[in-house]
Amino acid sequence: MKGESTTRSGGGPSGHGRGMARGRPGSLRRTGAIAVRIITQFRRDPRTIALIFVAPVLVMSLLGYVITEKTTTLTVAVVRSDQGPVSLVPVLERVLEGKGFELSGVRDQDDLVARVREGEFRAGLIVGPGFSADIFSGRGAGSLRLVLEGSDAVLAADISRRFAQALQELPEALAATFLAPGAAPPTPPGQPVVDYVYGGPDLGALSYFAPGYVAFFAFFFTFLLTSVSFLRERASGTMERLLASPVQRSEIVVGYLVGFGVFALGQSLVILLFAVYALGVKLAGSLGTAFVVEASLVAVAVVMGIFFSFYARNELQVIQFIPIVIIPQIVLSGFITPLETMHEPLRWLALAMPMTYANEALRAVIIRGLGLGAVLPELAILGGFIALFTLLAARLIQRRIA
Amino acid sequence: MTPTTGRDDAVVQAVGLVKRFGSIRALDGLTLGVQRGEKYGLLGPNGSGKTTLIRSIVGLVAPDEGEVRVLGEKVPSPLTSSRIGYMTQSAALYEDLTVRENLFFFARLFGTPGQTADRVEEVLRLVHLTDRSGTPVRALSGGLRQRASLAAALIHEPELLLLDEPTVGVDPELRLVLWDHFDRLNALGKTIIVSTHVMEEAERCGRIALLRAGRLLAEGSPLELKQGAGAASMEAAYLHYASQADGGDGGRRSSMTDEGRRSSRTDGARRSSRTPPKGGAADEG
Ligand SMILES: Nc1ncnc2c1ncn2[C@@H]1O[C@H](COP(=O)(O)OP(=O)(O)OP(=O)(O)O)[C@@H](O)[C@H]1O
Ligand SMILES: [Mg+2]
Repeated sequence: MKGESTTRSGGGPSGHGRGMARGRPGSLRRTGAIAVRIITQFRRDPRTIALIFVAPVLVMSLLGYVITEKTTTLTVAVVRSDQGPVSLVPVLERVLEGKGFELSGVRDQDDLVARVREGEFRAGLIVGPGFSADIFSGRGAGSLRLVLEGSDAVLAADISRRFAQALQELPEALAATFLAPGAAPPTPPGQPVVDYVYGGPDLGALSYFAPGYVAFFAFFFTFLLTSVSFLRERASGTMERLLASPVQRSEIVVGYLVGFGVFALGQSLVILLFAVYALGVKLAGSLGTAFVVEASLVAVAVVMGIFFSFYARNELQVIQFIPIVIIPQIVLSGFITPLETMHEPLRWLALAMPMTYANEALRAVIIRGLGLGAVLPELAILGGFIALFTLLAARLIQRRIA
Repeated sequence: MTPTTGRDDAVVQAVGLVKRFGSIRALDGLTLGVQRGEKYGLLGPNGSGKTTLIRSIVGLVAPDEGEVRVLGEKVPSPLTSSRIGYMTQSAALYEDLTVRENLFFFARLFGTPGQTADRVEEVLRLVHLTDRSGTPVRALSGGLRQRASLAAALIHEPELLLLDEPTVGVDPELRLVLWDHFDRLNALGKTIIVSTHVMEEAERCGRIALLRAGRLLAEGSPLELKQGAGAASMEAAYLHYASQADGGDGGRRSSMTDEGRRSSRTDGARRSSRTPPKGGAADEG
């Protein structure tokens, strides 16, 4: 910063005088030395490397498993009071079974409601007397009633979603059963036509969350590791040595950026590739663009890590940043709940967090398949965060000298 | 030669240094000068300001009052840092890196004359660490660490060496080796400022500053100091100057004796030095 412009003509690298230690080549050499040192330190610590690369993959597989687990069979009580003339109930049941429902007949409506209330069944289906007649005469499926237990909102939503899908498939199944092969199935009346601009009804929850995971893991590990590493630098006294050397504050920060960036980006690549190729997450945009976004977020995490490390005296206090710095970003960044459904003050808070922009940009790339140009505003804001925290961190380094 | 040292041969010139940490005055109006090629000792009990003084010479402490000039430049200056070698009081190295990797790192930070690899091997030989150079610092004993730390301070062939208690935890034999090495560096024209608690070491310096509570009690060659105090040992001389500074009330004993006793626990070489008897602070009168 200070020295860069003044010498360059400083007499060349004659001995260990002043000219050599400054100017551009020296600056590159020093920054490189710090980056190489960090990478070497990492290599000496296989457990941390394992944590960086294996932990996210494990967690993601687990989440992927849990999320796709929703299609396991669920037993649903059913009252069959359909009165024909030709019963379509077997076709209905076949479609429902295809959606992961197992049907268990009960006596009547009262019995069904009572047993759902007691928790024996999570849901019950009442097939009214006019079901088949309604379908034949084109009056739709109005005589079907779904009774949900409802104390688990996620499960209830999942059941009704699967039920709706089954109904949508019903006409086709009927056609296959009763009409000649090749004849067009009748459109079910009363069914709205839904068009997706991006994604689609089969955009899995995992694909929806994937951009958030990628952002979260990169931020989480990079932030914590940088923070601890910088803290150790201060605690062990090596910071004294750095500051007593010709190294500039900005060179320290950039050296850290490069050193940690290598690992954080490697991690992001592993997460992205694993999500796409092993878990089947749909990557609509280009990997390269996702990577640029990721790199910016990682850079923010490094400089924020350095900045916050000044407010910790030991490793335990770094851990305390998890609820203070990281969790709010997870909750508010749109990772879990969309920004649009947040209360106004929370939304303002969310807009002050770097992860919000990374999330937004990654979604645009991974789900909507947009290019680099579309995420430039987000990248610019992330760049602003990098500049801000680099400045703040450099100021702190200086202040701690005095 | 370097253009910055024209007017006189003062390598370090500290004037009226005051540094406060809260209510503590770590430096309390300290003025001293060190000439080129000197071997200058800082002798004082714990908390007397040795480390703070050294750090303000390096530019890591900004004094509240006064100023330090190093090699003609007002500190802190980016011009001086590559010409100073600073060995911190606790061996500050990267624990998970080997000795050699540590040295390579600092070599790249400072820049070395000639080939970096050659210089690293040279410094390793100097502190007798060549055969342990592949060991991670974490696995080194205290004394070996101290040697590695010294090697890191020497890596860029600095013309001014600031050594903060370089021989703490080093066995007596190696202590002699290190001091012989300091002498050799000194003979090559390097200026050395070294802080210590050990009287024998202090006596190997050309000049000594006796420090207490951030103030200079006395300054001079070991012989001058002893003669001026009329004392036979450096320790007695220190006590003499300390009580003089207290206004001659011999009852108030300096903490140096306490310090001497404390360090004798850990310090093998201390056994030989004569610790004055308890009440012997003002034996000269
Ligand atoms: N960063 C700091 N914050 C607060 N107080 C400090 C700081 N550094 C030094 N001090 C105080 O300043 C005084 C002088 O400390 P200094 O480390 O210079 O002593 P020293 O002579 O090196 O002692 P020792 O022989 O134990 O190394 C002490 O009272 C110490 O507590
Ligand atoms: Mg000290």
